[in-house]
Amino acid sequence: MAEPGDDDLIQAVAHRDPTALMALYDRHRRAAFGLAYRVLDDAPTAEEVVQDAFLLVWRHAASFDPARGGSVRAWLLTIVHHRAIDTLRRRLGRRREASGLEAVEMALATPDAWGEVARGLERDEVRAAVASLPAEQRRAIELAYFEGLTHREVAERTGSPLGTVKGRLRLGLQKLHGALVAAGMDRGGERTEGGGAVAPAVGCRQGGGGATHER
Amino acid sequence: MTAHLTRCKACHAEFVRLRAAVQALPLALEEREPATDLRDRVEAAVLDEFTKEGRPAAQERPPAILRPHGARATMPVLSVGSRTGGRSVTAWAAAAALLLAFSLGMLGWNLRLHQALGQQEEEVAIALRPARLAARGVGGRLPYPADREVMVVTVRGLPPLSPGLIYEVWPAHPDAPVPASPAAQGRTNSAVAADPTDPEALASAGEADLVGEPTRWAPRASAPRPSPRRHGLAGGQRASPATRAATPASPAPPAGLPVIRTRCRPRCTRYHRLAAVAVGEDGR
Repeated sequence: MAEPGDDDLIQAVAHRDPTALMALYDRHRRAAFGLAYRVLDDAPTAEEVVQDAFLLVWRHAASFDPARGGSVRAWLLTIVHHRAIDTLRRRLGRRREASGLEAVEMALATPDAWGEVARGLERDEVRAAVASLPAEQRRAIELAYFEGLTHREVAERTGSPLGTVKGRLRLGLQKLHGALVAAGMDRGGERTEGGGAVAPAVGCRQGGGGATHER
Repeated sequence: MTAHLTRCKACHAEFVRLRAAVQALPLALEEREPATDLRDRVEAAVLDEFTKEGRPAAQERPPAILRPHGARATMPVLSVGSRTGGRSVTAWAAAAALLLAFSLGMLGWNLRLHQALGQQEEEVAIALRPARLAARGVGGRLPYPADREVMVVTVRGLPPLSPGLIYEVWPAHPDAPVPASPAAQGRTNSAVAADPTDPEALASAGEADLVGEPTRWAPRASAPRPSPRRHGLAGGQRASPATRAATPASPAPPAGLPVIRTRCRPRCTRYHRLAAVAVGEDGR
């Protein structure tokens, strides 16, 4: 019997099948815990985060629509990341404020375009892509993502001007995406929420956002 | 920002790229194995929520034969062991009725049930262990009839068995799971049922009997109430139903057997193992 895919399992979860959720747990627990542990550096707390994340998946599985191209794994890890960063901030007594990368992540509540990309990702290839970034950009991304720092906090931590930090984050992510595409991992292309193709190299003339992954 | 993204395709495209890059970041991390009991905690928490949610969307109804009026009097009774804890109804009320059904036969079965029955029922969760079965999509449900005379466990997606292999249901005492059902054979459906008020009683029905009289498993139905320790059947052990009833064996299912975990009723505050599905060999 062929094993059900994540999309099948999440649909079963949406239909209130606890065994499907546990199947997702069995499949993704290591990635989820690895991420939570990386953020929190504390196993018991990371386990609580993972448990909370799977409960959120249970509660909100119906909002996940595989037809839109979302990846269950990416969705789960986004939830884990948010919970872990929230926990980290509470632990450190930091006020809740969107981090530099969290602002980007916020729109992930409804998954869409990442599915086909995520399905093809291999850990070593992602690592290589991250490692290929300039050290300053990689550092800014790591501080923002894994420590949940805001742009301003990253600037303070690195002693760099705020504008420089923003530029590093943006350029770093653009290069990272470009590296992933170059590695042939963007198998499904990019989609709009409606599923149509989006030209990958279009830049915004108004917002000064003309930079693309080719840069 | 959201408003701008809805208007500007260029920025939306870049947003998609940046988001994809952000989502790739955790994939670069080393995966780590959490504590083994985390699975139990997640499972318990989910089952808690599932129970609190009440009636699920999918309604399954037991066959008429499995919720008879005066069930005790009309159904062949199979003793599966003494009740632990004396009057511990909560510990064993769950072990009421068991149904094993293979996925290929479930559709027609459900259609028949929906045609035959009209009573509302509640449903509680089942989780299968070990993980390898759950990962394969094996799942189950425990409809809980409103009349509470009978409950039925359904298990879907069990891999087909080689000739001579059977699935077997193991209701689990808190201290010792015991094999309680006759086997589900091949790809056909099979059922076991019992009055939840007396978890020591189990009866069985084959697929052909779902709308008729339950199949009598004479060796078991007529057997005196055995000790749970006399009902074990190790996986792979070759034994006929008759010999199984009298085969002394381990009180616990063989290591690695999938265990159905559930609550005995929707609002039960305790959580305990109900049953396990074991694979043994049928010597017939």
